Amino acid sequence: MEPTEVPPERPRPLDPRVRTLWWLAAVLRAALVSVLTVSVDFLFLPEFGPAREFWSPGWLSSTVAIAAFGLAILVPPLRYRRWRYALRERELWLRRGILWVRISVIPYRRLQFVDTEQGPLERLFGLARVVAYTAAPGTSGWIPGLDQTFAEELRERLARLAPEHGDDA
Amino acid sequence: MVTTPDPVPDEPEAAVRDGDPLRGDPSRLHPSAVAVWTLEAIYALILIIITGGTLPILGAAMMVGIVGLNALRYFRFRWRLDPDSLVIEQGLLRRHRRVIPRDRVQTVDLEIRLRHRLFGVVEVRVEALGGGATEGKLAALNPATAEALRRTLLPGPARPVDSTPEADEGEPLARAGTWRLVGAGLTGGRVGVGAAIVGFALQFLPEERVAEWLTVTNDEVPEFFALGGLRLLGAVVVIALLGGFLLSLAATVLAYWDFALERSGDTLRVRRGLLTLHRDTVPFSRIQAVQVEENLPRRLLGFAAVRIIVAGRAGGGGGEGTDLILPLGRRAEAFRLAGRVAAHPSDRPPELEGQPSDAIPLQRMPKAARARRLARATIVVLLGGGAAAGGVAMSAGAAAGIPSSLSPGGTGLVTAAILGGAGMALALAAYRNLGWWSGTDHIAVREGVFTRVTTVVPLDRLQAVEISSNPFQRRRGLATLHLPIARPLRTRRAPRALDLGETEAESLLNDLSGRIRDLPWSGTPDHAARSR
Repeated sequence: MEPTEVPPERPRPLDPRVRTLWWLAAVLRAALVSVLTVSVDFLFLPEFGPAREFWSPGWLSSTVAIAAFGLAILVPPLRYRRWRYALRERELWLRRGILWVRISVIPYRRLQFVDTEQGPLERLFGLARVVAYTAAPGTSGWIPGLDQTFAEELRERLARLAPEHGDDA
Repeated sequence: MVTTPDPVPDEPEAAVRDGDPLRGDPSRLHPSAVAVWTLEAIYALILIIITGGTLPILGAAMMVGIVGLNALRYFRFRWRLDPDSLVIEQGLLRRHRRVIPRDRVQTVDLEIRLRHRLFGVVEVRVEALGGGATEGKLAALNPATAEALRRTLLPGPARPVDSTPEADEGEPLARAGTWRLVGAGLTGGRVGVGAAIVGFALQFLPEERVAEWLTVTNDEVPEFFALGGLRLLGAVVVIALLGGFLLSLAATVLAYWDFALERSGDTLRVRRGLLTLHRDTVPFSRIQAVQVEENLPRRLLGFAAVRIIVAGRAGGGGGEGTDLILPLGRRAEAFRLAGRVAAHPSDRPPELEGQPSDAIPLQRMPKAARARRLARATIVVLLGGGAAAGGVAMSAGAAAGIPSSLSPGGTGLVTAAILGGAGMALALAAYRNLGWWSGTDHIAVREGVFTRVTTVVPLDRLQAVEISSNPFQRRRGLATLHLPIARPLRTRRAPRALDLGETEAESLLNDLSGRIRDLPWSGTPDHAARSR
């Protein structure tokens, strides 16, 4: 995705690197959850849990670990496939979500602030996200997993498209 | 942007100039601010009086201390109106400066409490769009200054604070006399309904059974029940609830006493209150949406209440929040008012007025939405029945002497039957209350189970358009349309059309976004999209 190319109005995917980023983040989360569950399983439950006939050590841990790592592997590519954004002539179009799908349309005229954000993992991959705010509370829309240079350019672009001095009362 | 409070290093403390604060001369509040602030801390005063009763010297010392602190506060307080912002500086130890840009002002409200009336002053509250505490409060000003400030900050003709409405050019929109307010209090109280239900249910409670059951778990209880304790407890609870209800009824009547709503140029003005007088001003351009609220008792009687949604309105002051523009009215009147307020300032006749029916002709959601409501109710029924059965089973396991009439299966079934009947009724009601309507300049949505809320949003107030769908909705071909608007943070979510047909939702998404992309928003002309 070249920063200088004219953004088409068709929905486009995110930077492919974000899929790897999401995988990494999900695997780390799964590992953390598994470790916590192991400690609960082997330290906490034998003392305070239900009687021994209902479970055995390791049962909880393995279930949780399988689920967590399974999700970690399956979800990111799905999520990547579902994320789409488009820079239309007068509005921003966003689509995200696997189970819970959301489509947002934000006219440039309504943009109040546009930020770029970058967490530590994102910095590692050279990615950033663009976050758009309108007068409605909370974030109106965001696009994760953009190449960081492109993200900066996109933010500048949106800032210019948004009204300079706002609209008249 | 509203700056956060900070010591101001670059500007020396503004010297008070003997001039006009409305022209930028830093001024103090009215001297009675000292007394007003002192009287404000009513709990501290009560403490002082109690202390003074036992240790007069200590009480007197505390009194002197508080008055002294407030006097200091008065001397340190500065305010002025610059060409483009209202500046308030205060603070005893740390200087705290609040700058409210004039174009961010949402409402200007005047409050006259008893303590203000003692000295003939007025409190001015300015609400602005921005972060958390964006309110500007001037605790004591003389009425002329207050009115001049209000006039300058907001469009519309000024009028003296204490004048009667007839003397002014305002166009009256709504009134609420005492009886109407009593009606509002009677039908608005949640407490009343609760008290009625509790009282009713307690009559049927099998005292002996409950006593037995409790005996199983706690040995001291039987004595209590032998003395008819349960009945007594029930009576106490009911009296407490009724007392609370009557108090809230009185509070409603007092807070909205002599309620009058009028249109004055480009602003909406609310006048109400007995002990505390409120004079609220909201420019029409700051109204983001209008809501007609019909709770269960009111719906049955054919009444409704009307609210406005104003960005940044924290809802402070007044019993039910200062965004109520009609505490109670007949349904037709309520919808007519909502239509008028939402339509302003269009020159076209309000499209929501003059409908054959007395309300907005809402469209129903697809039948699949009803199925979805029923499905959700079924889950609750199953969970409830299961929980009841489980509860009985567990207590049977815990102690041997359980009365034989309470079996897990039986309890489960009975609970499920009761919940099922109630659940189905609620689900059907929830479905019937869903609705939407799309006009040339507005869109209206409705939802609610007990309280049915119809929200009218002028199209130019929409900040964006969204649709969402979860797997259950998708299975039935449904989706939800969201209408993000600028609103106070305390509201739960944006207005929405729940469980629309998905094709309908999609076409509304395209239609609405097509229409709003060129509509200016009359709100804050912000330094938009500044990179932060």
